[in-house]
Amino acid sequence: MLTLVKGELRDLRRNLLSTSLVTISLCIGVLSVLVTHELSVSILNRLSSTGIGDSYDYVVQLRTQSEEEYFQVRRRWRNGEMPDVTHIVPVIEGILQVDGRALNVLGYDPVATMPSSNDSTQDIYGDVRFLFEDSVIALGTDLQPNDRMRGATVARVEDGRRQQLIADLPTAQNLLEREGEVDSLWIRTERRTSPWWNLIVPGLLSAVKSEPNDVRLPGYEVSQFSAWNPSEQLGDAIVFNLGMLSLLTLLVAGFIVFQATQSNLRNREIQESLLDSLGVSQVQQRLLVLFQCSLFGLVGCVLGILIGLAFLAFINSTSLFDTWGAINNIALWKAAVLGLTTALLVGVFAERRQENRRKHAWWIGTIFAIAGICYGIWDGSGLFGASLLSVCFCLLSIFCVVPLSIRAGAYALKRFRSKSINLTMDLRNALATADDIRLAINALSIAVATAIGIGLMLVSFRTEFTALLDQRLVSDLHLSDATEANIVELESLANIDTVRTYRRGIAQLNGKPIHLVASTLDEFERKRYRYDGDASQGIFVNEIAARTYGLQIGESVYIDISAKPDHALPILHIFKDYGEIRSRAIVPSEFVQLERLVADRFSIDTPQPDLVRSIIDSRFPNISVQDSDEIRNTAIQVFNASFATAQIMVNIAIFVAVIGMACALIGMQAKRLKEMRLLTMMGTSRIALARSALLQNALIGVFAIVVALPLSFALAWNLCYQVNPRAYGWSFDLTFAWEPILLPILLGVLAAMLAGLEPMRQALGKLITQPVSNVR
Amino acid sequence: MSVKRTWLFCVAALISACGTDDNRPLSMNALYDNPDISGFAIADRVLRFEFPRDHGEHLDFQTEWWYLVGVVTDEHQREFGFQFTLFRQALTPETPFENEWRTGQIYMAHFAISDIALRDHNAFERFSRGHEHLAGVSISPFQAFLEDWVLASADDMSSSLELRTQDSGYALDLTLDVTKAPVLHGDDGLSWKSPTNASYYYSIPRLKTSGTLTTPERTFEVSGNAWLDREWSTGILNPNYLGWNWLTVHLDDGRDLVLFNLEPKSNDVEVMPVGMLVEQDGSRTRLSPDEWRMHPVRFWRSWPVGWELELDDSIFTIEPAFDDQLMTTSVRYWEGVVYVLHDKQRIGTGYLELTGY
Repeated sequence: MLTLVKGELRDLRRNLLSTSLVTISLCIGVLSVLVTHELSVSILNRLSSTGIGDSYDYVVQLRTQSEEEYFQVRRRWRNGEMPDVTHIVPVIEGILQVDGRALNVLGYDPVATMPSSNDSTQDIYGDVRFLFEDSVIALGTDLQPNDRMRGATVARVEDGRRQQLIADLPTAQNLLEREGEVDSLWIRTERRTSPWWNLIVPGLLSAVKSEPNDVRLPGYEVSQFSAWNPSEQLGDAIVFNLGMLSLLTLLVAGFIVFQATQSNLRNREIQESLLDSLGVSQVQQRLLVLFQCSLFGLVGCVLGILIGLAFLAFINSTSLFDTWGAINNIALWKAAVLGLTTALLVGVFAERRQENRRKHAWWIGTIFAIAGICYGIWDGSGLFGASLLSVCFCLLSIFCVVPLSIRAGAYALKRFRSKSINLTMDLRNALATADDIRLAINALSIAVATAIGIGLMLVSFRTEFTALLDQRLVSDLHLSDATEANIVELESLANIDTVRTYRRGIAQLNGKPIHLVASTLDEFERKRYRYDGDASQGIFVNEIAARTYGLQIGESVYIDISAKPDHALPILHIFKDYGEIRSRAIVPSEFVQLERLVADRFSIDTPQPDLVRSIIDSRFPNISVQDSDEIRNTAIQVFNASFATAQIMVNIAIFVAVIGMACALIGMQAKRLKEMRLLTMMGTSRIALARSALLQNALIGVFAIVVALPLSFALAWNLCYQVNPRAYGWSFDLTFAWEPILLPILLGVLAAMLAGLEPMRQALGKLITQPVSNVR
Repeated sequence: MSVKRTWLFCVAALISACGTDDNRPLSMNALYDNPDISGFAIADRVLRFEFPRDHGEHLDFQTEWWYLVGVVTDEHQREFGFQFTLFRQALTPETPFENEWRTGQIYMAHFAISDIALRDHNAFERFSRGHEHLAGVSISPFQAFLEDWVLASADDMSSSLELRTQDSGYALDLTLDVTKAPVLHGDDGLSWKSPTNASYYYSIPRLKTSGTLTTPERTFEVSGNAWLDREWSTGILNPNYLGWNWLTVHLDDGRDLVLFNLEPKSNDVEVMPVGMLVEQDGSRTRLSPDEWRMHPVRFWRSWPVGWELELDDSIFTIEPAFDDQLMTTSVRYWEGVVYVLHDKQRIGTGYLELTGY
């Protein structure tokens, strides 16, 4: 056996290029999984933080928002209701204006979070003064220690993604002038938020929407915590989508190993018969194949992990050693196990497939894909269903579209008549080669289709996003961190035509949290939100609120901004709110208690914008002022940056697919060598041979692209109408554009031609003029 | 003196391990790490104890506890041990505050039941801030509570107490009749733990106990004896000691025994073992350090659960009812039912507390 293993190693060394390409593709796959997992965990940690410790599972909104109600619920819990609950934490939330800036205030009882079942969960901020002095912790603000506001002192400042003041419950009540009130109860249960499968595939928890509440409190609606903390949900959605893209690279790598192993097996028929006659059993020969695949997997994993660590060290500006120490073990194991399993599994399948080629595979795969598509289209399947939909579209392409296209091509070629024998030969050769390297074709098709799909989705999204910006950004100047007094003073100093005031606050909509904006819903505002009717007697909610709370136009809802319920108002309009992750409602000013809201944002129309800016710069340095163009540019920049990672992942997948094509064509080298020898015998020049080979490769590329097109449109449709609404709550229509289609097509064809260059060079290099009779 | 202060040792160790970087949020244990004792009263002189006043809180001291352990049996002589402790930790000497949420007091309560027949020990813990709806202690009538865990007396604790606790299918509903008057430890209640650290400390050594004890299996009618400790101090922890070994025993002849000693970090640290024997009539006898000696003879994991006691030229064996009576609470310590054997004959039942191992 040792001799056989040595022989196998020699064989791999002989085919060094092919061996290297397969290893590199696996290495990139493993690297993608590792880096994506680490980045995902990092994103989740940043986005899911509540500011006062994580791992809450549910939220109960109090009906009367009183402390007494909190104590009643607590007594019910202690008397045995909600047996799985381990902690109930009272919370009050609101917005406080500090020097013009509106800061979110979150008050809670830190002692109610004790004991924490997780030592790494740091629930209590600051020193013990937090509990008996009016002190706050400032997150993500430019406040300094010992700064004061409404009698409270900043005890310490912390970095934070969101601007927030964390305070003990009574301090927050004081700051918000809401003595004796508690908004909601945050609940932890024994079942931790992250089950093991969510640790392995970050974000999967949010992708599976059908998880039922396991806490019941009669008389109250117990909501999933993500309703309160939508950024956690957003984080899950982002990392789940990234995770799926990283798996795409590994999937493509898997195809490549499969293709390489199959080509290898095909090329070794003589060697196998020789081994048979030498008495080497079939089992031993299969073990050799597995050995080869596991070697690919092992080397690919080690290289992938090492490069991944180096990459992470680079982006985190840490040493390799520190990165190794800090890296999540799950990420390492996941990358290694997925890499090795992919290599081994495809080895097993490639070997079996050799015996039982394509038997029944197409219809089993097709039925499975159609079943998955039916499930994924069902809205209740959530983000997981939408992702499954993409996978099933790919499967449908693999098992149905590609084989049928090859058959159709073969049928058409039989009837194809051309004066050029070379063209006929090239076409037939290209189709035959495509059939032989079907897996590499599939890999390239999927990678290109994903690129086109994402490209089309981005164009569609950008189109609607810019239209939305144009509609919303109408005023000359937009001021934030200002007070009404500032504006009055400003009006006395400059010529200002119109001032529009936007008051914000945190309220409850039918007992669920909502971010409220109160303004005059006149014609100007209605246009901004794309609503034509009379808006004086109703409210607007954004798509996220509608989706999260199941709201519909015409439905009446109660908006409570304090303990005193306000009017029931009908929902007049559901507006698009791209970029926003919170549930929002726009309410006419006359229907809310304005003293509970904070006026910190203003739009100004003025004939002298430059003068107004200079006055603001000199007299009100705290006010942030931007014109519409500045806001638009910033928004577009953020938009592009948000999708940069996805595009990088797709480019990596295309790169790996190109490696796969090269690998597959090298595998076909032996076969093409025979053809070329025959053609050389017949007097064809090397240049003509090279031209023919290039043409064939281009045709293979074109074929891969043609079969990719239906898949790419299916993926674009899925991203626009399923993935985005389910993941982020944003909907937009699919817009057709040439640019995102043509670029990947050109890239794909070029890639196929480039991938064929080296195999062609090798084949031409081996050509020796021989008698026709010697050509075998 | 009881050694529930064990938790303070552990807390101190945890805190010193994790550090207190000013720019990082602190763990919950940091609430108890208040090295600043300025403004708090210190136990450094003999005070005249007055009851019921001293059954209540002493907010001018930083740390205080109400500690109750006992062993009870049902009608079939099935034995159970129980523990209930309410700890108070002051964050500031300031008191009181206008807003009832504003508090300088944090309370921690432990409740445990040892089912000796099943060798099953279950411990529960709760935390709360001082608040009239959440946790606190009142004097007349006496009540020490943390939500629905309550140790209360219809009067001023002179005749009886009621204990009601429940969690996860385990519950206690017991009446505790005072059969011996409070006894003061140390010098009229001033109990020195080390040459520089002391506390105020008294006990009600024997409370006749009856009522119900519930486990997930069923509710048992039980009776037996319990021991109540009361102690308050400021900064009694001395970093030269690892932990405590504390033993209280109800002897079958009606006498009660309490022994404790601190485990020094090194041999050059002075050890001040303390012992006291309470007679049937409630009179007390202090045991000088050379009258008794305890040394471990058997370990469970790292915990010395089996001991040999030399007292009055006799050798007694202290054996746990079963080994695994570890308090798996935020602060870990071993606290469980033990038997006192003499010539292999059981002569008493008690509670042993071990910390710092």
